Amino acid sequence: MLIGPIFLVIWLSFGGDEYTSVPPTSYALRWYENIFAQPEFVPAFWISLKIAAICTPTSLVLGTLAAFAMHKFPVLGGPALQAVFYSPIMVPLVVTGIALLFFFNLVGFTANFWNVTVGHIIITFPYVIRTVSVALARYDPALDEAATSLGARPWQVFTRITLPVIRPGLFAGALFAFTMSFDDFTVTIFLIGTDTHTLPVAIYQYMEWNVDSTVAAVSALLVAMSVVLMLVIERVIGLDRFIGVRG
Amino acid sequence: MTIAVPDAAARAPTIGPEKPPPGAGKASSGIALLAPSALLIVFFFAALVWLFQHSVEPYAPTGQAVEPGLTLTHYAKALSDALYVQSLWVTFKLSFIATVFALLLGYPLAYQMVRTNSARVRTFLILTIAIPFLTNLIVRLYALTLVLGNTGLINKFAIWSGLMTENEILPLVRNDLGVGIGLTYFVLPFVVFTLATALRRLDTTLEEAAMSLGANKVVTFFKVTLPLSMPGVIGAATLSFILSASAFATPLILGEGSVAMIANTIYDQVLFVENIPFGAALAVIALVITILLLYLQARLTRKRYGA
Repeated sequence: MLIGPIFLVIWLSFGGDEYTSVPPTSYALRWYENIFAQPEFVPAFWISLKIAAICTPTSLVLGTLAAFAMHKFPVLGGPALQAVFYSPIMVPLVVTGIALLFFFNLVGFTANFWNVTVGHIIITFPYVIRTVSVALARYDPALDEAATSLGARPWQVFTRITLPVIRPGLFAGALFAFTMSFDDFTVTIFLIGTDTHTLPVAIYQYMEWNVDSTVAAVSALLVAMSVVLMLVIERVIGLDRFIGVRG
Repeated sequence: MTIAVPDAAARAPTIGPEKPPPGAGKASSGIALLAPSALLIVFFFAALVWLFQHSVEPYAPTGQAVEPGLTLTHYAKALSDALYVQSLWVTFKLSFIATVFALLLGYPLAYQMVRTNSARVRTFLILTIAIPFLTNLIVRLYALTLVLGNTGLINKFAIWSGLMTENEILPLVRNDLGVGIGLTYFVLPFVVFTLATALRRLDTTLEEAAMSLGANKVVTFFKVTLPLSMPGVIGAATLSFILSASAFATPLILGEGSVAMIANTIYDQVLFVENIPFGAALAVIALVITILLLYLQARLTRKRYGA
């Protein structure tokens, strides 16, 4: 039932009718061709990808450093401070979107591309803190002692021992950041200008005015992308662990 | 990735705030690590404070100067004008319904996922949840419009099977029902993941004990499993309610302008009506309700279950 609608979209994306119809009366690849004939989809895809490509490593580094600081220095990892750092997860996205819109206006930030990117970093880096903190909680401090007693400098301990051990947490965090940024609609729609439509916004605007199957074709491609992403997750940390079915 | 875990007792003394982990240096270097994200958080809080400031400003049409002074009129309007009370009520009602249905559908799914002995069933369940979860929300909502729409799968099927005539329409979009279905579909993966995590942590020996004392499967489930998983259920319900209550895209696409939940009302006030103080006040109300819910969840979980 959950996955049914997604199969339906893939099926209909191969329809040849002028208007999307269930079931299609003929089959064709014309809507896939139309994605590239329309002016909005390809540039919107690149903008979304660029934003996610900046947001993901930034959130990953910021979140990992913060998680590490909270782990190493218990003074900084208290519940109150944690709540403060996790707050962007708790605040409804629409509130974040409107607050950032007003504040960017106040401080005179007018570059929509960067405003959207900063917005995405704010909503994604707390997820990295969370996934990395979970990984660090399982981390065995004896490893640090062993490395230190063998003469490793703190920086070496961090890069050679800690980072490789917490890799699943880093990977999960990066993945959260990427998909949240690439898919975000609510915060983005407050911050975009006419020149920076991201893919979700472009899809929404196209389906507002058109009833053909172009959006079905774009959707099918995006589903293919998420299937690839899933295979990568399965390979690197295991889907069941990513979802929390297995520890 | 597996790492050798030494005897837990040997590590125990190093855990806890009194004894920092080995290698813990001056807190100043910790603050340095925290600084970049702290900067973003400060920016975020400043934005929230500025939002609050807007919400107590008098309204001035675009182009006119804002009068000095503070006012609570926007809050009064939001909580008394029938239009906005209606929007809050619809938000509450639909979020509640979506949460109930997501729990009813999600619990058996999560239970099967964690408890099944068949690796194949587990993989199948994980895939059916993970694919929608990793797929763009706008794409999922578009897919739902193809199922629920007036010329969508369900309507076409009803006509084809003779349940309805050609001229009849089963209205499943542009109304509360459609948005309710959409919200349930949107929150279900989150609910399943939260419940699965809780069920995985559950100590199965307690169930075995109940069974060995003569309880059948149904009694064991309702007397042991379900009560023990209550913190997970409360967590899932809170998450589901908060996600539904702040939903923007779902009512936008499945409601097609006919169903305005609070997020849509805020968006319209800010970007179309351009009554910025009023939009800000609605946003502050949404934020306060969210904080209250999270506080209640924490209280409830701690009080009842000591977690």
